[in-house]
Amino acid sequence: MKQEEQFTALYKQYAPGIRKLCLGYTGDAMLAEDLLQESFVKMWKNMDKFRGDAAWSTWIYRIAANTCLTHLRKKNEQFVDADEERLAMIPDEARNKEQEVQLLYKCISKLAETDRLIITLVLEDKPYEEIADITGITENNLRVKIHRIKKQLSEIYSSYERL
Amino acid sequence: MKDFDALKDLWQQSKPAEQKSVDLQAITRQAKDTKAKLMRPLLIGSITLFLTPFFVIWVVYFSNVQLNWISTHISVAIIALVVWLQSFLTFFTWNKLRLIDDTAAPAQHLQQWETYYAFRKKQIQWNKPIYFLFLNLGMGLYFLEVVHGRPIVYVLTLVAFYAGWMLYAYFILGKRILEKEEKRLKAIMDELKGIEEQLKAAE
Repeated sequence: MKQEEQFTALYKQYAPGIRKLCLGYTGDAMLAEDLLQESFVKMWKNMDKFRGDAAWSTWIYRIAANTCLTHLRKKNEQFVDADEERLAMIPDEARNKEQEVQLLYKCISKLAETDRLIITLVLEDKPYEEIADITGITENNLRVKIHRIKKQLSEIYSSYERL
Repeated sequence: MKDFDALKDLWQQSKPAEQKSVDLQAITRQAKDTKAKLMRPLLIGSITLFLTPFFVIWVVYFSNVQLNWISTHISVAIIALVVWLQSFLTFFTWNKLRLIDDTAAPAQHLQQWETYYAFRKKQIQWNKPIYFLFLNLGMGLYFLEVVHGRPIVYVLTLVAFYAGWMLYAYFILGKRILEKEEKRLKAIMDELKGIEEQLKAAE
């Protein structure tokens, strides 16, 4: 398979998941789209380095994780006044699923940077072994960390839901 | 408290737009590749600096300008050497960026960026003063022959204008830029360190 065809196939397969990862990380759709594009450009540039030691999925998610983690300078742009944001998030009785999903993205973006990535991978149902490979954290430590993040995310979500 | 499994269901119900067609050209054109954005000016700068001494040599030795003083030859040598060294240093910096591995494990990747920014921070502290000093030494020697025999008012005006601009560029403009750049690099390094510590804490 030609490299471009392979890229296209990989993009189709992984872009939806990577988009969600970036959305969880930033809590901002436009920023997430930028990070998604940047991740795939990096993937394209590094495709010749892929030796098959890890699965394509692990390799691509790792590039996306690195892209998110090093996206620093614009990070402050997304910080808005907490009260203003809370007002914007007051649950509406007619809130549909999509709004709940958007709230979930926002809640994830309140976590620490690495926690956002880890929990997004958990939500995507990635096996712990693969999450450990992507993040470079040992599986045992990861389990402890995931337990804590799950609890934290549930608390954040509930606190917004109560408003 | 909302159960985590409920959140997981919610997450998995969200279906992002399906990718119908993939245009690689459009992706590479639209993407805001941060690393490439940092690398491009370094490469252009390195090439421009590399070519500049050729132009200076052509002006002094191959154009109609007649300059024969030994001080002029020394000035050309100093300018060429300083500019070429700066070109190589810029290329070295570009290469340092190029070698950052986007596919490495996050902790390693962050460490590579941190090393790069630490290098840049050190570099801007010593490189700019040295470059400025030697370049102006070369320019000063070059002007000796150029202004020789010209009216004193012309010489004084040229020296005042050149020295004035250089001092302003270095002590006011340059210092301001340097401070801003140092602040920016420190902020980036602090953030990288913060994320790196999150990963270390998990190890």
